[in-house]
Amino acid sequence: MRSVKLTPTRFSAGGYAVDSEFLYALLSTTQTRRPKVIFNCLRGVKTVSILYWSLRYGLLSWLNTVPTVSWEEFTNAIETLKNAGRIVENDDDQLLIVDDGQSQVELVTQLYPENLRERASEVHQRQLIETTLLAIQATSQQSYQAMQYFPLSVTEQARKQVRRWFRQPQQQPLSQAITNWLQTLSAADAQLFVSQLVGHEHPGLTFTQLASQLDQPEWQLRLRQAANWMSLVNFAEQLPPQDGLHALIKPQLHDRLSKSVRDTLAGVLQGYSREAISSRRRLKFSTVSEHLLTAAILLPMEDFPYQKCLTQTDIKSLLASEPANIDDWDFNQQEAVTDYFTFRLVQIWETKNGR
Amino acid sequence: MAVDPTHVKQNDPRLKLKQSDVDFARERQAALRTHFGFSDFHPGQAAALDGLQHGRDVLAVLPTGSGKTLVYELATYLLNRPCLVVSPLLSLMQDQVGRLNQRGERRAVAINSMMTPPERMQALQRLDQFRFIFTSPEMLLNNDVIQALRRLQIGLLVIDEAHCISTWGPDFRPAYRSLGTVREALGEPLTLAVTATADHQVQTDIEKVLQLSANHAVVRQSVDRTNIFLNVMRFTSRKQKNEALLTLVESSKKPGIIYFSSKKQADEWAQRFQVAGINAASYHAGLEATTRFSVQQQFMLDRLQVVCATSAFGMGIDKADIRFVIHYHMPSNLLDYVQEIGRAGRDGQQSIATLLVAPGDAQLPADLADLQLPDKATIGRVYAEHQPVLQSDPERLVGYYKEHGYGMDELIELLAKRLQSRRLALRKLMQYIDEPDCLRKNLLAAFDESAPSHDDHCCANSATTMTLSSLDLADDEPRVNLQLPDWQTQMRQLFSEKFIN
Ligand SMILES: [Zn+2]
Repeated sequence: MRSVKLTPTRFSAGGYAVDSEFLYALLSTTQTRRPKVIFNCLRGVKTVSILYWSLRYGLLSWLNTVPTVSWEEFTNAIETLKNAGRIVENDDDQLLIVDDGQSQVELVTQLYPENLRERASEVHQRQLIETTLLAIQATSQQSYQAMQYFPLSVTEQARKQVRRWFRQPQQQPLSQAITNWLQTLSAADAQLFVSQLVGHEHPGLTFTQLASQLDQPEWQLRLRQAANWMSLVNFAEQLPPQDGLHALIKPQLHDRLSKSVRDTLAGVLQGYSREAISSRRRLKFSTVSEHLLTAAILLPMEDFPYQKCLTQTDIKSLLASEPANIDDWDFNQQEAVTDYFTFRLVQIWETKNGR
Repeated sequence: MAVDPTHVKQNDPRLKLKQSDVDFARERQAALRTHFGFSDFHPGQAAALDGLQHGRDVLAVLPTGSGKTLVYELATYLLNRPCLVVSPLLSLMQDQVGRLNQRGERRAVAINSMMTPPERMQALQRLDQFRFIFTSPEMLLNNDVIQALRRLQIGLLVIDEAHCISTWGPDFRPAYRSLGTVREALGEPLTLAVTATADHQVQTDIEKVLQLSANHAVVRQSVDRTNIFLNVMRFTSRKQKNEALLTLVESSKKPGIIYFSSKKQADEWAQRFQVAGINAASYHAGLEATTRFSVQQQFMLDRLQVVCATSAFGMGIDKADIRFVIHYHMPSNLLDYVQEIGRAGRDGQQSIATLLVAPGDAQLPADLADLQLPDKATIGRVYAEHQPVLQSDPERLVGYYKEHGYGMDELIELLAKRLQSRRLALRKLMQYIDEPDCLRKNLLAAFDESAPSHDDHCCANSATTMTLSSLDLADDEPRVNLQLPDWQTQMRQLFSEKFIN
């Protein structure tokens, strides 16, 4: 009988996506960061405050990348880093890296490249995974003429979508489209993706199982797999609309801005003032402002009409009166008399200009 | 009681009735073959079906593994009317729908909290397309659900895990208390209440709450599972217990299930077993649905040797050849224990149930017995406020009683009684652990049953050592080295010959 070391276990209790090493990659040695902002950013919460601070932290590309993260696992990760003396928490509950440990930013970006994780805020991830897995399961069982099987339990919405999709004529078999896509990945990533698929006599492996078989921490596999899903989304989107994979995945995508934000933005582009939009659309004035700030944060600079919302005077007077570090600007203490919208928008403008 | 058809005599004055008994027996036998491909009923199944075929409500106390789902499935085909199954757990519902689908029965649906309100409305509108409808007792508190079910004219109402009705039972669920009213609203359909276990107090409670018809049948099957060897192992420290668990699992014939009281420990042990070369995974409510699915399916396909589970979540696993069930933590009562070990040896082959005990282990269930009940401060707060915010389970429990017109003192007295009964249940479990003689005798006595005489295949109490080899339960399989196939190989497995490269 082999002997096995029993105590203490070095494994983090299973199933967690946000490991302390992952969290470490989202913290800074120079900028104190609020854990609540990072947590809500990962979950995809789109309030102006969360979006703005995510932008300031340079973490906006992580928006909605781990929608299932729980506060418990998140705080566990914080505690682990604090207990190891690698981060400190200031009086304002903000976190700062204090050790000179190796930065994990490069590693997490390698696992989940920025161009892929940026897509996460445009995808209904749970719906994407459930419909795709169920469609693959149904197709797999059908290829064996096995009509009696235990279906994946998914939401009613996902089940209906797959059922509808399954009845449509397929231009190319789903297996072919998936294979074509897998060929664009590294052999290791393709293996990881396929290992979690469910089908005929192929029950799929869990992250925990894969972590021990591939000898890579679970949280790293989770990031790699998330990147795979976004890569699949990109691939499917470029297929012709009548393609089965395209038809399966298209309904899981959405604009990164809500319809209401888009409508407000369109109003500004047509030359209406915030007041006019507010009364025309019967929205609170503050809501209109929030819509525009949301759009300014989430859109590339060239897609937002800064010149229609800000004047050079606004920018200059704030820059003259506020501290050099934008993080230290305080709306309630400001000397240049401006409204909250202008104040925030200047901060966004300056941040996007590299400050 | 069912009448044995072979005993019918031609000159019997009640020939007509007896004749119909014979017909019923033939009918259900034929249905068993058609729908399930079996030729024999498990003990208890035929008696329960017979009662339903005679139009009598049935309370069936059938131990885990005796095939209670088959009873209502078959009854539904025989009655040829829709069947409403009230089930306590979301996962249980989905498993049941999944299993029906797997058998080729597509007309099954679960109306539960997983559905959005519009989805629920849509499902309710086309309810007549389903033969099996699963729902929770909480869902039945919604008027639109009741109205839709009324239109349907339910042929059979099944109350699964019926012991949840009883405030005396360990799994009491307030919403189960309303099922009598629900039954009335549905026009008192033919009712089958099933549970793996119910003492007389719980039985009376079920009968009273559901208002079962006066001529209802009670079908009871012994809780004894003679092919499960009972084993208690006591250790002097946690460390010793840990080492013993690893050794025991390494040397036992698999597959098996190990129950833990925490998700974290289930996870950690699954990892430890993997490091030791045992193919293990954890299974509990904290995992994503797809992970649970994979674990369950791997286990069914014999790709997993050991599942480390929490007690609330063994329910979906229905595998016939489970050779051992080990409890790393103590269950809170014998009722739960019997349910959980009942997952072993459903194929009738020799199996073993082992309970591991270390000093301090009893503290957890003792604390839980106290903790899960609301304290006086909570009760006072909920009763004092006009519209109290009910967040925790204890608060919701108090809220439920308040809403249903219980006085505060009445509730306090009721809860005191429940606490007492929980402590008593825990004491009985402790007596089982400390049993100096035959464990089976002790266990069955707790259910008012007598045990067959002790032999080599019966039990080993904490003072006795057992040998796995004498039970033919020693591990004889070589370790397999798991190699993850490359993606092309896996794709070929997934998509048969239709796979095009
Ligand atoms: Zn015995």
